[in-house]
This record gives sequence, structure tokens and C-alpha cells, in this order.
Amino acid sequence: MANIISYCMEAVADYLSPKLCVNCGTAIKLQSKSKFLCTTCFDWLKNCGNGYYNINGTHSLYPLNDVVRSLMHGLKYHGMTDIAIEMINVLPWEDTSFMGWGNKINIVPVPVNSARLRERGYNQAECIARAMQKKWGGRLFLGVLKRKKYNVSQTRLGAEERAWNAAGAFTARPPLPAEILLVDDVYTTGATTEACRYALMRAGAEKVEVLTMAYKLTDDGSSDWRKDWDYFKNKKVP
Amino acid sequence: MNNNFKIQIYILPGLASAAGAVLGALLNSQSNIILLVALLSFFAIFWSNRVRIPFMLAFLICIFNIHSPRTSAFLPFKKVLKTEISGKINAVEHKNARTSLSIATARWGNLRLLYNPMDSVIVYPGDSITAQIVIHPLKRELNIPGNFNLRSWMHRQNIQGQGRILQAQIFPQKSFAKIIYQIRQYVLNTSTKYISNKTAGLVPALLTGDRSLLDRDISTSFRNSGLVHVLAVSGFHVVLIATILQILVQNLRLNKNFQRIFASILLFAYMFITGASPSVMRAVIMFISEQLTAILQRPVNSMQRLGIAISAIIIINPAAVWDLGMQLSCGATAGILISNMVSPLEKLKGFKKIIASSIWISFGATCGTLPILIYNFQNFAPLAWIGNLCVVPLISLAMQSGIFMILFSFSSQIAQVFASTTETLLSYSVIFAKLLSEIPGAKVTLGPWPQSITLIMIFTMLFLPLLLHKNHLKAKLLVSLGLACFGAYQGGSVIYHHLNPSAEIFFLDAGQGDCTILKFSHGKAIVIDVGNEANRGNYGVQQLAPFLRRNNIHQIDALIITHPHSDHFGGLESLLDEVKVQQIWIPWQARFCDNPFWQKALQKVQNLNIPIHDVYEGQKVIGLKPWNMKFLFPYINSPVNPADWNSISIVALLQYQNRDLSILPGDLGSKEEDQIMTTHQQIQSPILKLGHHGSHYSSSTRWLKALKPQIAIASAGYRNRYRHPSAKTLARLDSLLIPTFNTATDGSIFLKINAKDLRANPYLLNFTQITTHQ
Repeated sequence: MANIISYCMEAVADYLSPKLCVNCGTAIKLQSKSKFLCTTCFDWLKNCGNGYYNINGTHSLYPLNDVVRSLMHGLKYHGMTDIAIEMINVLPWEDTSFMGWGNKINIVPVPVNSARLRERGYNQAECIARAMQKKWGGRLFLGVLKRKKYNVSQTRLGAEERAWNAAGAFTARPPLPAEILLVDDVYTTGATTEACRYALMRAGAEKVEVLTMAYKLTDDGSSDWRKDWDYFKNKKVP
Repeated sequence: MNNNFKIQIYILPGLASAAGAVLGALLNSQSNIILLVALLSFFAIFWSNRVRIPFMLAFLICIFNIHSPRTSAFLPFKKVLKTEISGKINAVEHKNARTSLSIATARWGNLRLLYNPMDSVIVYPGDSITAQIVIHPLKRELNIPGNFNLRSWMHRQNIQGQGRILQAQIFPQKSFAKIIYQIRQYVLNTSTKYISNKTAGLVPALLTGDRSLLDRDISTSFRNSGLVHVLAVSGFHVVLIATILQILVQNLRLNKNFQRIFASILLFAYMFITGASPSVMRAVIMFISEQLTAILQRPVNSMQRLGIAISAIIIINPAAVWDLGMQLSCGATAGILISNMVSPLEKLKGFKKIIASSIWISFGATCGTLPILIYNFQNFAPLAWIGNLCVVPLISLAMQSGIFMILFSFSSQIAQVFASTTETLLSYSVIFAKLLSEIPGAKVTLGPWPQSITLIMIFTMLFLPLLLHKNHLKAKLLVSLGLACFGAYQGGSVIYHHLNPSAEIFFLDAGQGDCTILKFSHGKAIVIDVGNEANRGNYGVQQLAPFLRRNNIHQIDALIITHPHSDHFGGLESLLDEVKVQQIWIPWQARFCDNPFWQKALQKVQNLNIPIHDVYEGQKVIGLKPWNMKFLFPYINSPVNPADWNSISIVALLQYQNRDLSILPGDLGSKEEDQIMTTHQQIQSPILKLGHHGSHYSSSTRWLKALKPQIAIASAGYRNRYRHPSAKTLARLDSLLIPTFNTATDGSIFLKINAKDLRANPYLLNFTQITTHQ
């Protein structure tokens, strides 16, 4: 009975607006596994979700290929918050032991500033954090990190600009857990997460590790974030 | 907006359906339906299958509904009926210090009744009522195309009859309709309380659609500058209100989904406050479906939302398909959405982008509405986009401050501040609209086009934005093909008229009166007599002016009044306000007529500096070549006879080069006919208008035999008390085998004369067929 009702509800919702694959735009059939991807794209996502990346100490769940990029785009700009749940649920791991953490993870999402929060209505990193907590357990710390400055979006900036933009933007407020898993959506140059980590460490955290949903590789396939970070530290930002 | 924008997918089926509709339009008289089916099936190409099938079903239901016996059994009452009714009040209207109620009764259907309560009883919609009423039968409508037709209006509004209430008992009841009525009244009262000048009527018109206090000058200037969509509450207002709502609700810091639901509910309530016209309903349904898709986290497809809105409205009220506001609203929305899809302005930034994109949107909306406007009104405002750029921001700011004025009306000081802001903004926008309407060329007349050309234009104009887009060669080709088709039609018709000069004679149905219009293919127009039946209201304003406008006549080159009787000049005074008149011709004897109405009309003519020519035998109207207009009567020595003005009425003769075509007499008798025949022995008149409405004192057998008419026309009222045209005259015509037409029974009679073979093709207009649904 519940099945029939859900089927009918979905049909009515499809009348309102049919589900289209976020990546390729083809129509999605009723009662398919994914809400946002067609079967081919979903299989593709499953395949790249099997690999776990730990690049330069940053845990990453997906490479930023076409499918993941359009998914992240939908999550960030089109209000499709369920994408986070779907992407976490696709992963084969039952707990966080794959990256060296136990069941008791303390999750801190990277915040967005309040103006953008009001405009968008949600924080995409928080969505990911909630999805992780739902699947892997642990505690969520929401008020710990705060974004101070009304800085510009990182999306269209270069590496150096990003570092400048992120520096000093975050403050952490104790009490803090000793071991923290910092969660963000996409890792590009690491400026944002590094600034967050810096703030958390200063507030008294002992171990901060970064987990991002997707990881963007540079052209030669390696990351040069540490070089940027050194450059940033030499500038001696207050 | 939509990355998967593929041109071939929708252009070709669209054109195929257009071709089908053109064929259908040529074959079928009820092409209005086919036009709509084509238009909507064309929209359907944008939708998913899941929308298309329910939509088509809804449309079938709509067509079935309209032609089912339930709604088409419109039986207007034939006799005066005095009964008692009990029912529920649907709507209350106040106009000119009279209250009219629309009451839903079980037995008689919907009735529209005048109510003048003795003591001050306040009536609210939603109350139930028992009353003694009188239902009046409908008068016969004058049979003139382009006019307001009460019968078809009542049919469209689903009103079965109208009358007045003699005695009533009202039982107040709590209802949703009452609350809405009170809110509307509150808005009206608040705006008149705080705003003192003429713009006070604009605030309720903009916010609640209550136009009872709207100043006539303001609405005319808005209409003439092509900004009338600003005054009627439509999708534009709903979008504005929705944006304001969203900004307000955002600051409540609720969950985003709660915000969306909250805004939807508020907007839904607002829809009822504005009276839920189809265009408002369209916008609200589109907004709510957008919020729902956002809650369900699905991709937003605006064209699909438009489809959902149209099908929902059709299911709720099938007759909305013929609502002009709905058609314009859908056309404008589709134009905006399509032009948005192919917007070339994505690379612009900042202030430039704001200006350019608003021009682009205005362009898209104009493209979408232009063919519909031309089809219905035969004119469009080419400068409307300037008005849109300047007036729309002013109006939207004024609406915002108006809303705050009403929200803060509990404290008069705060409300005063907002009221003064509103007043300034509104008066600036009014000044701007007036300036725009006074620019020459603010309004261009086009058309009337046949339906097939209108259809082609709708499809072409909707895709006109594609011409500015980079790619899509095929689409460009198709659009330019449509434009070329239209240009060929327009140019071809001009060349055709130049090569084949023709004249049209319209014998208008003026009740017991005369009104004849001559329109020549080179653009000149002559009006002979402006009749006015008693108790018919104002013929010049209500009947003649709309007809002239519809037939593209904006200037009368010669207005001939045959003699000073009210059935020949009654509408003159009011006509002068509406249409530009170059010169007026009256018999010289008529200057001595001391009828006060006639003297008043002459005074007005003198005040407007229109030259008055005295007519006597042998004069001509100059400047009509190759046509001629001669006067045969009165003579320069005909005596002034105050007892019988008929004896000096003008007789005009229409000629092509030197061949007589038609004699158009006033009310002359057979004695004067004999006088004419003695001076002009050779005259003929293939087309003859019978003198004196077909009375047996004129149109003698001698006159008819001498003129050898092929067709005779009598202009008389339906069941008039003089029994015109008389049986004797008709017998005379019958014995000479002359076919006779009568405006009372045949409606307005049109004759078209081609100069080449001088053959006249009469065509009558079956009124019921034309205006049942328009």
C-alpha cells in the first residue's frame, strides 16, 4: 500500500516537473534508484565512489569529474540538498574506518556567511555533514566555526586570491572536541579548509582532519596547495 | 536558462500545427477554437509527456463543456417577470451611486439585479437574500460589428437575466467572500484617506484590482501609450507582490521550505483579493508550482509551469480561454520565456545588463502580445517599451510604498509618509504616461488581419528574438519566412487597393435613424447622418465611434447632416469628442432651426473651429477623385419651412467618374423627388437608399422607375412606431422586382463597389455568429 501511495505521489510530482538527470538531461523513470541521475550516470558515480582519495592529508570521497561537478553544482546553486544524502549513501563503507577514524567522529562543517545563508537557505557543507552523521554516526558541531568577513565567493578566484580571501575569515569558539573532522564540499586549493583548520587549532583542537566530497586535481594531476599555503604564511596576515 | 534548447524539436511541429490551423481557419467558421488549439498545442511542445496528455484532456473537456447544452442553453427572459427569489449574493458592485448585485439562485441561475435599499443596509457578498424582483427582457441589440454586445457579455459571464429588486431581506452570514470584500473596501478607504489628488484611485486599482475610483483621464493616457497592462491587475503585479513577499518572508529565518509554503499561501489569498481573474490565476499557479518544484528538488521548467497553469485554469473555468486578459498574459509570458532562453546578453554585467535585459524582456513581451492586440484592437503602441522602462519601475516602487501605507495605516503619521511617497511616484508615472500618449505615432493602426495571417504572426513574433541570436540558422530562416509572408500580405494589399480602387458603403443599424458611412480605398471617409434612437444612450460614442475605430477610420473628411431631426443628428455632439471631423455640410435652411439640441450641437461645432458648409444643389465634395459626391437637393431657393424640415433634406449622389452609383437621400417626400427628377432627367441609382426610412410618402413609383435601382436599402428601427418601412413602399419595390434590405431585420448592410466593373457585392453580417465568443 505504501508503495502504491509513494508511486502515485511521485507520478503527481512528475506532472509538476519531470525528473531530469542533472548531468546529461535525460528523463529519469519513475521509482528509479536515484533522484538526480539517470541509470548510466548513476553507475558512473558508483564506480568513482569506490575509490577513496587521501591526497596530501586531505580525505576526499570523489574525484571532480563531470558527473560529480554537476551534482555539486546542483547541491550548491539549485537547492537540491538531497544530493548530499544520495552521494554519501552510494559509498560502500559502513563506517569511517576506511580513513582511519572510528565510529565517534566529531563533524564540523565549513560555514557560509550569513547573507549567503539567508539567500540560499542552507549550507551545503552542513548538508553533507548531516548526511554523514546519518550514515556513520558521530556528533555534529554547528556553532563552532563562524565566518567573520563578508568575503566574495571563492569560485572564480585564482589560488593566491583564494588564500587572501579566506585568511582570517573564520573564528572558532571553544568548547571544542579534541579531534575534529572538518567537512567541505569541493577541495580546490585548500585555502578555505586550511584557514578553518588554522582557526580550529588556535581555539584548542588537537587534531583536525579535512574531509571533502570532491577533490579537484590540477592540470599535472598533483596538488600544489601546500606551496600556496607557505606563500600565504610568509605574507604574515594578522 | 535551458541548456538543452533544441530548435528543430519544437519549430517544426509548431509550424505544422500552424499550417493545420490555417487550413482549418479557411474551412471552418469557428476558427477561434482552432486558433487556440494550435497555439496551445504549440506551447505543448515545450512540455513533458506527463503534462501534454492531461492538458489535451483538459482542453477536450473545455470544448465539450462550452458546447454542452448546460452552458449554451442561454435563455434570456422574453417577458417582464415578477417573482420572488432566494439565493446567495456572489458579487456587489457600486457604480454611479447605484448598487448592483449578482445573485446565484437555484431556479433562475445567475441574475444581475439593481438594488436601491431604502434604509442604509450594507450588503456583503456571501450573504443570503430573499427578494421580490422584476426581470426585464433584453432589448434588441443594434447590429453593428465592433460594438459592445450585452447579450454576448451576459452569456460569457454566465448571467441569465437582469432586472431590479423591489423588496429584499438580507441575512448576513460569515463567509470568505465577505472578508475579501471588506479588505478591498479597506484598501480603497485608506488610499482615499491619505492620498488627496487624482492618483488615489490608482492605489486600489494596482493592489486589489478595484477600478471604481480610477480617473478616466489617467486610464485613457495609459491606454494610448500602450501601458494599459499596468492598470489591470495581472501577472506583472503578482510577480511584484511575490518578490516583495519573498524578501519579507526571507527575514523570518524560517526553514526554506516553510518560507516557500508560507509565501505560496499568502499569494493564494492575494489572488482572491484581486478577484481571481484568469491572468492573475495563471501567475499565482505558476508561482506556487515553482515553489513546489523547489521543495521537491526538481529542475524548474518555466514553459512547463505555464502549461500547468493554463490546463488548471481551463479545468476550473473553460470560458477563460476566450478571456482577452488570459490570452495576452499567456502570450506575454511565452514571449518573455522564449526570449529569455536565447538571451544574447549573458556576457554583460552591472548597470548595462539591467537596462539591456529589461529592454530585452519588454521586447519579448511585446512580440508575444502584438498579434493578439492587433487582432482585437487593430492598433499597437511602438513606443510602449520606453514606457515600460520608465513607468514600470515607478509603478512597482509605488506599489511597494502603497503596501506599506496600508500595512501601517494604524498609525496615521507613518502611513502619511508612505502615502506621500506613493503619491509622488504615481503622479510622476501619470505625467510620463500622458507625455508618451501625446507623442505623434504613439499608437499605430494595423490590420484588421484575417485569422490566418494573425496565426502566422503569432508564431513568427514569438520567435522573433531568435533573429538576434547567433546560431539556429533554420529558425532564423523560418522566422524571416514568416515576416516575409506578412510583408507580402501587407504590401500586396496596398498595391491591390491602389490598382483596384473601391468604395465601401456601410448602412449602419441605427435603430429608427440614419447612419451611412462611405469609405474609399484611398482612405477618405464620409459620414452621412449620425442617427440616434430615443432611449438608446449615446449613438456617437457607444456605437459609431467603436465601429469607425474598428474599420480604421480615424478622421471623417466630410460629415453630412441631411436635416435637423434628432434621428439624423442625435449622435453628432458626442461623436465630435471621439473622432476628428474635417468639415460639416448642412442644408443652408437648417441654420434657422431653433431646436435647442441642434443649436447646441452647432455651437459645439463652432467651438471646435470645424468649417460648416451650406449645401445647395450643384455643390460637390472636393478631393474624392476618382469618385464624386454631388448634391441634388435642396435648391438655393427652397423655402425655410419650420413645420417640415424633411422637405429640405439633403440628397447626395455618389458617382464614379461620371457614372451614377447611388443616391443617398435624407427624409425627403415624393414632392421633392419630382422636383429632382425635373432638373436631373438622366440620373440613375443602382444602389438606392429609400428616403424617409421607407415611408410610403416617399419612394414613389415614378422615382423608382426613373432611378432603376438594382438594390434598395431601408434604414429603420426594429418594430418602430411609425411602421417604417411601410407595406406600400415594399409592395411598390416588389412589383418592380427590386431586392430590398432592411437594417432592422438584416442588421448593418455593407456594400463594396469595385471601380473596374462597378459591381456591388452586398454582404450582411450575421451578428450572432460573430460575437458569441470573442
